[in-house]
Amino acid sequence: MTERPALPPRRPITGFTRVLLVVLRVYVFITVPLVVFTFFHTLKP
Amino acid sequence: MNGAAFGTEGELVPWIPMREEVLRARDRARVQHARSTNRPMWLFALLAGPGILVMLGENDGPSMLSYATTGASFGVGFFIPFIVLTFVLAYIVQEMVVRIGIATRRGHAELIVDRFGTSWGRFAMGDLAIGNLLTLVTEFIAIRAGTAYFGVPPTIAVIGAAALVALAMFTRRYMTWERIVIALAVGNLLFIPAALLAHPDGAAIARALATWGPIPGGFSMAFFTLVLANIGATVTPWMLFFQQSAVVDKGLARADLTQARVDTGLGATIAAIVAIATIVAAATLYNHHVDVRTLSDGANFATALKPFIGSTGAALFALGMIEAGLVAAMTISTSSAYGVCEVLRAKHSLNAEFSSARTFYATGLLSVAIAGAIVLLPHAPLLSISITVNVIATLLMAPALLFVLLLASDGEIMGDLKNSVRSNAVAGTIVATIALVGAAYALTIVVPFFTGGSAG
Repeated sequence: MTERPALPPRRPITGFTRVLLVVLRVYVFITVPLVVFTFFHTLKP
Repeated sequence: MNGAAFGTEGELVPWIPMREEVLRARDRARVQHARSTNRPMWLFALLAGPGILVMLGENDGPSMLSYATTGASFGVGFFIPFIVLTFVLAYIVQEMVVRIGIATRRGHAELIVDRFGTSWGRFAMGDLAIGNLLTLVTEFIAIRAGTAYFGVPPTIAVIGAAALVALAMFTRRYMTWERIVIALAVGNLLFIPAALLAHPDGAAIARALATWGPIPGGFSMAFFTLVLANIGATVTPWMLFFQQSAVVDKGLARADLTQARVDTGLGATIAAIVAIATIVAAATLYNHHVDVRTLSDGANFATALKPFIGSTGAALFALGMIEAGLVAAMTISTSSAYGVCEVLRAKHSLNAEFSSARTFYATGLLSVAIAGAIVLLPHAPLLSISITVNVIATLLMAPALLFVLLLASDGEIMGDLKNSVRSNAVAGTIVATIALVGAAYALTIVVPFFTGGSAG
């Protein structure tokens, strides 16, 4: 049987990963309203 | 199988294994037996599944429509080798997901929560659940269109398809579910005889593969849009979540990595051949100057192809569309169930009893029921949903791929299975390319709405 290995404790996110996640957060804040707007815009007759 | 385990205070407590643990242990015993008796083909037959399913599942209703539109718009040319390239990209991404699943024994959404926190986990769950629900709607549209070719009423088609998805889940056995879906996915191969009935020019296909051409009309906006659509048709977020969770649910271990890679490669190869066959079949319409703008669904394509590939070929094309929607409905609803339950820390296994995994089964079945009901609603905004699905899938691919790359590079959880510097450079380039291409595709869909042009 395959056992689940224990994961090491989560460490604070630093360095390049932190930069990438900040960029991702900005990307999400731009794209989510865009998706919502597109959906409702296409509903217009 | 009963025994004892240590409790929280270190005391011995009775341990009764869960149903899914017993079933997985049985499957592993079969794998061990095949490996110890040196039967490589049988071993592969036992271990294959997630890779083939994820690749053939991605040859879904909208994807097949995209390939058919490509063939009808541009004939046999640039897109034949391009499709091969997109499936190579898909293999590289999915292989990382397989390694993450085998190294951590955790699903993709669960791992995002564990390594990046609950908020990112909830974001991943939310985008997967909403994106999958809307994609499921498009799968039912494909099923409805394909069955309409045979004169089946929409209500019977949609309810019948939803019932098949539910029946497969009701087996409460991962291996049985997987074999049922693979058996249905064989129907994806129907596009190959449909292409052969179009009497394709073998020399033109070979020339296209060698020269990446011709490109009729040059680098037009329509060409660019189809390039982006075909990339979107090959790599999508649900694939990442599904394959990692399926690898874990099936119980694949480190020793199975080679077979899991071959499984994924085989799936990509078959899916690429089917995608190319669809382009070749639809290229008949290009050769006969049929206006592609009049073709909006699978039934339209089957009807338009009938004079050129015969009633048998057209029927095969329509059946292929039904299969594409049905198999995708099964894999996508399961990926929603895995993703939601992994973030909510609810039990998530196709081997689990209903009573112990209510949220898991309810999520899968509810997503199918809602999607089916939307398709049957009179005046449902199906066009809005189809357009939004494309936008969501392409825009959300960037975050999903970024998490795959970050997880696969995390030495603490991956050990020696982590990405090497070289594979990170290759995968990083692919992720950046797909992200940019996805954003560009989304803009080609969204911009016309802001500028007053026509959609998509």
